[in-house]
Amino acid sequence: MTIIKVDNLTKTFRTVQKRPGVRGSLRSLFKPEYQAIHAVRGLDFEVATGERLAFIGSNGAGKSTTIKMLVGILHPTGGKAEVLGRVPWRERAPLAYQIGTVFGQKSQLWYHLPAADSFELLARIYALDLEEYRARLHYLVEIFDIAEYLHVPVRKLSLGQRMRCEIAASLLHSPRILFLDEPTIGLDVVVKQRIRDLILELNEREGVTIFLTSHDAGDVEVLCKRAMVINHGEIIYDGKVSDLRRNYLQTKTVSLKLAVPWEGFSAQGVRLLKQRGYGVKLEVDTAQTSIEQVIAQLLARYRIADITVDDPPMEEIIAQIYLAQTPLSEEGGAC
Amino acid sequence: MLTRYLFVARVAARRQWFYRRELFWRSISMILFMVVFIALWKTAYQVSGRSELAGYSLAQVIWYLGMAETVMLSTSRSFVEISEAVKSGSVAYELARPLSYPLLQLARSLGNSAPRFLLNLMVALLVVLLGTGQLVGSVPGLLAFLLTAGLALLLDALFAVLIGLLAFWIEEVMPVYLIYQKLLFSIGGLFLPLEIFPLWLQRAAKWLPFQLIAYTPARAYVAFDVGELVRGVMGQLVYIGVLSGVLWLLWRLVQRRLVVHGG
Repeated sequence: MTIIKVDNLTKTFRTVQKRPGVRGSLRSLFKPEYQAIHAVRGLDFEVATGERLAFIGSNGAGKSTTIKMLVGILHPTGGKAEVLGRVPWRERAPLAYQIGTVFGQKSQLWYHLPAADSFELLARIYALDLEEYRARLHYLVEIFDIAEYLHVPVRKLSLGQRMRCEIAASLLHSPRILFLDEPTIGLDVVVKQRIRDLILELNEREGVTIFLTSHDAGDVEVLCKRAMVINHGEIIYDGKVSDLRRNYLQTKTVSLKLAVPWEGFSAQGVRLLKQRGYGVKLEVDTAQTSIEQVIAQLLARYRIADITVDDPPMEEIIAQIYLAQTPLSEEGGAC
Repeated sequence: MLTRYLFVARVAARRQWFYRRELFWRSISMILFMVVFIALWKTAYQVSGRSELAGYSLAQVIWYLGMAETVMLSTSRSFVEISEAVKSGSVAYELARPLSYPLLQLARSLGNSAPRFLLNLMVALLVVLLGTGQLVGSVPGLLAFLLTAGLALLLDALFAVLIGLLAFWIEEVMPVYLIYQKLLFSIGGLFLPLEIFPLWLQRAAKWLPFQLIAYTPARAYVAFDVGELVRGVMGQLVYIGVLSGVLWLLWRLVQRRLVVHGG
């Protein structure tokens, strides 16, 4: 069943172009020059109930603008959208009871009060039945393992603890769709994994549809089955995450800090990206050699002070998809 | 439906407790302010050699000031919070709630004001009583003060939310607030009872909403008069209606051309 339907959705912002200097400012005041920013240009897609969808794009690609239109707080410039059968910007309030939002860089909890107080306020705002609210809270506290932080002022929580409370807060009213905008931003690896597990569990237990935007290739790989890539307001990829992985996520970078001088290293599918003093950066094609093998071989040969393995940055993946889709003739004769 | 907004107000009031240090400093500033003005007015009455100025005795004018300040220092200044939320983009959360955003902000403003008002009132009564050595006012005056002060805080909350919403258009709303504040100080009758002004200015001021916030409650306390009270409350209600209408219109505009900042 289709839960979100988007048809030629467009959003253009109009901003005043600022001219430099005092004279320029005065001129802008009386004779403003507008610049149109096409944040979203004609999106078409559908999301099925219970789906876990990643919405990927670099900064300013139009991800957040799209989410804000789908939850009804931004009016589009053109096009149509239906979320749970409602037009979000016309029926924002009734829709609000059925959707949850988490904006990773913003907080919905009262900074100086314990999370429990914010939860209670939300329960009132969403007009939850008191009995049901208690049961729901109990359930979420258990899953998210936040019992010990519930009565601590939010300002005293770590980012990871706070994030668990934030997500729990947006699930109190049992939404059918959860919009997550960069939920793992700024979290360390262990906490990231924890948050991902929780989101997965919720999706499986309650069938909540997950609409996720992230900068983190890991989030997308672990959490989602389908990915849409948006670039300059247009969808440039819509398909399975497994295909995305096979085509664009198969390389990883291994950064080493050696305790001995670098003497070179060769293995199939391993390429030297950078080497400077004791610092070395390698690119590993995991289709040819596994990361375990490469690390084992490196350890056998070198004394290593530090090692990290990273996914390629999202920007790089997007650039690759973009290049792969652009015919060579449009590249302006690049070699 | 209304209970939700009441609960929002209650949480806001509770939150004030977490800013108790700020509340404490506010009341200290109230004490300093009153001490300075008590000395000023004493000198003014001595120099003039009169026992009444514009119908106010020395004690009355100090009590007037204490009550006017009680209201003024209890205003919520919610435009600060609103404009910051607009600038940082966290306004997105509150916009996504099944509530009316302007009503949410009004409820929060009044919740913020309530505990401040109680504290300021106690401090003002104490300082003015010690400073003048005289108890001015009456029980009907106090009741009239409580009623008009409540309406005054609602009126001010409407102004503050309106100023806060301007943040969707202009980057810095503080200058707008400062203009509003200076109007309250002057033709709002905060520092000087309106009766002291020249007649033409008094007449003009009485048509404007600013005197309804500080002057009306303070006047009702020191010189209780049923006719004046009825006129004051009517004025407050009319302007509450007018500003609610403006707020409704402005909110519609905001929704149409809303820009939510940041990622």
